[in-house]
Amino acid sequence: MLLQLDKINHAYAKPQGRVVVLKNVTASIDEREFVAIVGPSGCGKSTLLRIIAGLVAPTSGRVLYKDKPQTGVNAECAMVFQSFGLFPWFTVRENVELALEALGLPPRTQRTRAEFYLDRVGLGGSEGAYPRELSGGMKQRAGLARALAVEPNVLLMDEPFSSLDVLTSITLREEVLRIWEDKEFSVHTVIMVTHIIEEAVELADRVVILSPRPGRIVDDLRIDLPRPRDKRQQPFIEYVDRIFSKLA
Amino acid sequence: MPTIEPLPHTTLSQIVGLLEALNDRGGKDDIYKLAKELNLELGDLMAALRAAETLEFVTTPGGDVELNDLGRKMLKARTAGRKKLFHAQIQKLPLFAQLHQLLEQAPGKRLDKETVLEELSKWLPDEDTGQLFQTAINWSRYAELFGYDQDTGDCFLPEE
Amino acid sequence: MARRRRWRVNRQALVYGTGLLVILCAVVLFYARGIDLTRLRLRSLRVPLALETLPGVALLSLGRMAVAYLLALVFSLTVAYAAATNRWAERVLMPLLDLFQSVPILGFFPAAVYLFISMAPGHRIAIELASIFLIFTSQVWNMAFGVYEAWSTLPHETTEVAQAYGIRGWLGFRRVYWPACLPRLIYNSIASWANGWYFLIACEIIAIGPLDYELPGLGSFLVHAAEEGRLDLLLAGLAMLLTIVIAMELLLWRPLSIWAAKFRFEQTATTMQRQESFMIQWWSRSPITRQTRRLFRLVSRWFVRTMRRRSWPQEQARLAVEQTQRVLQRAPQHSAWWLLAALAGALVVWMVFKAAGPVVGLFQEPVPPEVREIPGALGASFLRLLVAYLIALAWTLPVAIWASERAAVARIVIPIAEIAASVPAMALFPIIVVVVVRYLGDMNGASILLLLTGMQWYLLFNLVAGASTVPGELREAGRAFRLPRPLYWRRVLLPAIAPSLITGSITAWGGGWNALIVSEYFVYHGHTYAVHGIGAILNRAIYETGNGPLIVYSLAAMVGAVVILTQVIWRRAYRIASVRYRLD
Repeated sequence: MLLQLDKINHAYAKPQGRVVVLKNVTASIDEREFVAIVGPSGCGKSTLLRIIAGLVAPTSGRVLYKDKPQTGVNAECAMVFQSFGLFPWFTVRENVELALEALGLPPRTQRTRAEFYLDRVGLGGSEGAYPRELSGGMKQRAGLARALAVEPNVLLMDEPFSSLDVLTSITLREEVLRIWEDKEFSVHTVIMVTHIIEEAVELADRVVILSPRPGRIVDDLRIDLPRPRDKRQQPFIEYVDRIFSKLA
Repeated sequence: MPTIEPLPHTTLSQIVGLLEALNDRGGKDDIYKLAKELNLELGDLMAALRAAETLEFVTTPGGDVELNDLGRKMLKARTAGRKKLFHAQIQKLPLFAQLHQLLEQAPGKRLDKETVLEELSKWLPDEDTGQLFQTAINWSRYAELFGYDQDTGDCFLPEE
Repeated sequence: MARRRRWRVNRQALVYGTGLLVILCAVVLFYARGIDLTRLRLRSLRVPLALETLPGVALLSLGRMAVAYLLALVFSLTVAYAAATNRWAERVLMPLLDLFQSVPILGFFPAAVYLFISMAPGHRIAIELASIFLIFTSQVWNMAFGVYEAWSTLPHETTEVAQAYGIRGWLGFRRVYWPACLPRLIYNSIASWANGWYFLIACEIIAIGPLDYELPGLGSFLVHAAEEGRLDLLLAGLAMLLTIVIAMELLLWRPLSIWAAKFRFEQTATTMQRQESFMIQWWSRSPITRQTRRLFRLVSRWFVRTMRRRSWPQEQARLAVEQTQRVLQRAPQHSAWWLLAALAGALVVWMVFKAAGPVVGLFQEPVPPEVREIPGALGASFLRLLVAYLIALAWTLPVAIWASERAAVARIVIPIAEIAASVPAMALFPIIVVVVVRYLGDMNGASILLLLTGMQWYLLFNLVAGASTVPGELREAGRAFRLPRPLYWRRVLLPAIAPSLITGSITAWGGGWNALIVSEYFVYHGHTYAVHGIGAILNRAIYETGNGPLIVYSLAAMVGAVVILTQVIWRRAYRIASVRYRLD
């Protein structure tokens, strides 16, 4: 068991009162699992992802990583953000190098690693571009390259495709799948938050369904279909319907 | 000089996305139906479609769009392979051939953006050269045909 | 619920009130027994008035301004960084900054001078330090607020990314915070330098009671030229100042602003118009600068490497501390803050204690007769400020809106405003006063005009910055729907500008109160020009009679009025505006 969520509760204070976003979330995630967390908007799934990453400390409960309680940001997780999270004053390569610099790597290693991963996500040739010059798809590829470049154990993705247009997100979904299946890359475990159910069924091994606020785990489905998954086939549609009904 | 066509305003990801969507549907679909299924405005789909057609990844018999062998090859290829295919295809386009020639003949194989924009407006006086430039640069960056440095404003041919 | 909100507001008020208390105690302590500067052995350093001395004195003034600016820069960055990254520091520092910004500094000049000079009596360095400190206080608040605002409005994702990838500490500052604040910092620096030049005269001539003391500099040069009626030298001095300001604009501010545009967070702009600046061209092409940049890069890389090596274990330690304290979410981040708070509290208590004696003594003494005039004088000054404010608003608002709509206009208006704002109007005060009084017959008009020079520029700068933040789409929507001009102004533009309008007004009124002290009372060529106002009372009390109790009463009244107005009117308006008119 790589990651364990132990009775996670989270609430925050607002002028009107206390808002409970997560209630009693307990789950465990193994290595080499692709887990999707779905739920209606406001159900706390993004907050849960940040708790897993260690960006937010839960009000109560704990996260166990490799059987040890997690305190602070988990250095073996890397996150891909919905709005890409690139710094506008750095080129794409400098954005990736920044994450490597934070790890303490020397400049030459930073450069070679950054170029390697940028090439792998298809941005070779665009390393010198600034984020504002790039399309959404390319910016997210850069975000992905950055996450991969720190060579994490777990890849966390927060609605990574929702800021992209339809065609681009089709492409990127397929690329993420490829990366996850590729033995060459170090990351084998992926946790993805999404509100698009078809996306969850297309990509994940397992779908965790959260209820509307306060978010509780309603169900935890295994998707037992071989990849690549055909969206028009009956089993796929059945899974989607099952999840839909749980959300209703 | 073969006629230079303007580029449809679309990205590589969108073109590949279209190929993927077609592949999911057995390789062929009615254009209008495809747009509806994907929840796309017909106009947005058309840009990707035109680009895919120009690059010889699809054909458009009747009101349909069909994936051809090259398109299938593109889908099967991995990142490096896709780049090579794309590189080969865009070189066939007169616009990129001309730009390539321009850069080859330029001093130091570098040209500043203003000059390129001027040339573009000469070849395609009715087009929005700014947008055309951006699309051309995005495509050529991916294909590693030529690059653009925003700090100096120069387009350049990458060293071999 | 409601109780918690009241408590949060109270905490801010607590800090603010404490700061105010400290200031009032300081006032009492310094002035209550009257100023006796004869104890400090000072030598007058009057420089002969001649054209040949002009370049030299200009350079001296420039040097003082530069040193003060660098100090203000470091101070602003430090304070803003603390406030932006640490919630407790924010709750303490921001109200204090607010308070210091609104308090009229000119009233405290003598106290500051006294402090510095008593540390090193008789030495010129002490007076230079006093002067630099005064310039510092005129520059720093604006910059601190600007940087703080830039950092506290960073997109949420930016800080998340930095946190998630471990980009913190020096690396985080260098790569994230510093670039993010640059556009704002540069803009505010321009305004701060202008303000510094404006107050230069007051900072170089320190005439208190029996003392008449000055530093060689551009400010004193201008004043003497005006006093002796040497219009030719006055013009020469002004020309020198304008040359410096224009040179700085062309060689420093303009290239910096253009370069800093790349640090903005706009999502659009693939076709950013590259504004031309020969400085940028020269800087990027010239071989000399290329070598210097290489050298700089090598040095900074070495520096960073040694810092990193040294700070890595410290980072780990700090991480550990942070993590354990993350569990105690209610408690402050670091125990050191408690210590600091305790020390500060002790200091406050000590000050109040010490001030108690003089305060009691003050009340036991017969109240000086002029004190009866204070409320009326305060009211009169307020009215004058109001008139000046309305006049300023009447012209700056349309100009700012005009400038925000046409980039070409902005490119002209801002440099002109910069230059005009830098002119030390105080040098021209005597002349303005004489002229206006001769033609209008009333000193009130002259006084208002002088107040105007101290109020309008900050208002203009803030309004231009605010008007330019109206998102392009809103503007286009207004045009697309063919909204009639007045409706567009009322419904779209004004709400968007509202926060900047209020911030600018706060700063403008701050400048106005400050200018009050020098614009209500003059002695020129043996003739006395005065109006009925609090500034006049203060001026006379500080610079002529040295009447301690009077200074205390009038300064306290002024500070009190400023604070009340700021809190009651402006802050409330800001709260309403930011809630009602938020652009999202």
